[in-house]
Amino acid sequence: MTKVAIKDPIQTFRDDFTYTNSKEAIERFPFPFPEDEYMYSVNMEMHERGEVGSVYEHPFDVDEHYLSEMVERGIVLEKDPNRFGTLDHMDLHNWDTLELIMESFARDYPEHFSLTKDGDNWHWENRPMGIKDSFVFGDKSTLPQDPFEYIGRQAQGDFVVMDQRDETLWADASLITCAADWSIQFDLGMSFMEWHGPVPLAHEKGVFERALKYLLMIRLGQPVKRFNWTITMNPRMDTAPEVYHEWGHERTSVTPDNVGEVVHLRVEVQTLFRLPRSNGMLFGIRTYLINMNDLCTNPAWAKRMHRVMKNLHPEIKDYKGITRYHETLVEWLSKFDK
Amino acid sequence: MTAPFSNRVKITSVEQITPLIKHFKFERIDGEPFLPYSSGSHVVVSMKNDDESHKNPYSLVGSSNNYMQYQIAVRLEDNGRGGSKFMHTQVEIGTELEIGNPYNLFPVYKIARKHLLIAGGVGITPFMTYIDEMDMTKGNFELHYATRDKSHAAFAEELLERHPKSVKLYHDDQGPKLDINALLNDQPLGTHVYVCGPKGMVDAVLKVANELCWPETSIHSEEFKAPETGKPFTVRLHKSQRNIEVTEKETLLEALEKADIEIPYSCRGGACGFCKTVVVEGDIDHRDYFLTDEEKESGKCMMPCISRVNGDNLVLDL
Repeated sequence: MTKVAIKDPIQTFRDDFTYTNSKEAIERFPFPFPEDEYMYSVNMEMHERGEVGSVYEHPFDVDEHYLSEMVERGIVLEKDPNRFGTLDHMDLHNWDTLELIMESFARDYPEHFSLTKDGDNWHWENRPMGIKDSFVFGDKSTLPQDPFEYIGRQAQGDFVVMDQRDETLWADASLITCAADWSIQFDLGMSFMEWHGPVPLAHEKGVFERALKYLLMIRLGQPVKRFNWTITMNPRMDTAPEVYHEWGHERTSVTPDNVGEVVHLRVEVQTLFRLPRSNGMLFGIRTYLINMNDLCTNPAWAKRMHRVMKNLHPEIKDYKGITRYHETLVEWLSKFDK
Repeated sequence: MTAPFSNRVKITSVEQITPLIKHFKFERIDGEPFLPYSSGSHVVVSMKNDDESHKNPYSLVGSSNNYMQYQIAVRLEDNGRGGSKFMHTQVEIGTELEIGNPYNLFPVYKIARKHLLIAGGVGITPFMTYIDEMDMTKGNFELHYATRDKSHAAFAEELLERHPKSVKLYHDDQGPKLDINALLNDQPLGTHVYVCGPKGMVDAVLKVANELCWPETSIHSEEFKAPETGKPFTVRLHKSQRNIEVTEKETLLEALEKADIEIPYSCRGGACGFCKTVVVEGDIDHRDYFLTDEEKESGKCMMPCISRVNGDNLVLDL
């Protein structure tokens, strides 16, 4: 087990953008492209314990950005409390989520977290955030927030908690403060097919139909994962449509001189866990950001990044909002692929 | 983090709770806690001794909050292929068994306004955990539970004591009978009906619900369908070029497992879909609930846990 050094002081994901990746963080970055060409596929695999120190070592990854991301989450929720939402029938799912994350954290990062249970009386300690709480499992009145929001404010990445019924999955609770340009306030309560409606090409290929069939059969204790990615200007976590006016214009700010600092590859390690008591599903979207300068310190990644960007299908380019600065980016990356 | 697919367990308590049903409690041999589970979940129990081996699914009946213990209730089936007989005659306190992780094919529909539960005989088992969930979520429910007589009504006293107003018992030998038509005819909008019991009862509830135009998504059933026996046949495996005999009493899946061919499974009753296998050749006798009519018609795949072949010609892509 590696001990995680959590950065303190806090770095920012807005305004002055002080976010940086250490050498170790660059090394463990989950680079998502196995081939020179990218296309949608049912790219799901077992979410098993990965190499020590990698982002897959534990089911829920805690890294050096932990405190900074939790502060950022607090800022977003303060401005817009509706980034957390839950429908009335999700209590059991939300307690499931709290238990799954608390148990994982306490087991995998004992230097930072601990959980003790005496029947339904639980005691939770989150040392990096200075939290010590005793509560009754199943009794919402004993926690300061809904159990899902409570634990979501202490775990990196966005979460959707899904109910399973009518042979599909419903996005019936969620805590989303680092959305890659999608709105949970709009999607809350939608079925799997509805909330994936806008994605181009994949529907025609039957990707979602096959993916859904696979997801419905995920078993207890056997989670799965997949990658998703996009490009973001500056290390900005909150690129939700609700605040498009704050970040949309930054796509016009890319010049040949600033590509290295401004353009970030944004990778989502998406995980799916069957929830035990509710038979629902936890969908984790763990976001990692890296700027082009840092990414290109790895020659193999730099070369692959150039080819993937160069070969990108026009519809995917449009959907991910890359079209406007695509040429500048590819030109900048080309020097690593000669 | 992947939980072991099977857990070694040992029996800590056996109780004959009706003339035909035994109630078993067990704990993990390694002393570790079990996973919590959802209402309506089942586990597959693997039984083995020198002469025979069986794998049967049983609903969990204990509280999901007791991490140290799982519980099942097993009815002795005279015409079964031996799994329940094994549980009744070979299993006692201290017996070691293997069980898979829980899986749920009969979950509570969380947004139902009212849950109408109908149980027949040992079909009460999945509802034991439903009642726990109703307690926890303060769900609006009624349980209608029919058995041949009072002595065969497993868990009835406990259920009545916990929910005197919501639990109604019916016995074939005396008192009023369960009138499915009247019951389903008098339910508020937003009610979901769940039925678990013998085939006759499940069919009757489905028929009445359909006749009364209940929405299909509001009707849920779990039939305890154990694989039936059939004529023996030989299966040819296309990829590995082997021939395997399937006897009258065993299923195709069991015969494949005996020949060390691993196929994923969960329910072993034709419902979950895990064991779906590609057919190269053969007139399949489909007995499952999982495949669509189109898939069955195509003859390109089958569920070896329950389905067999008409005639003696079967080639699988294994």
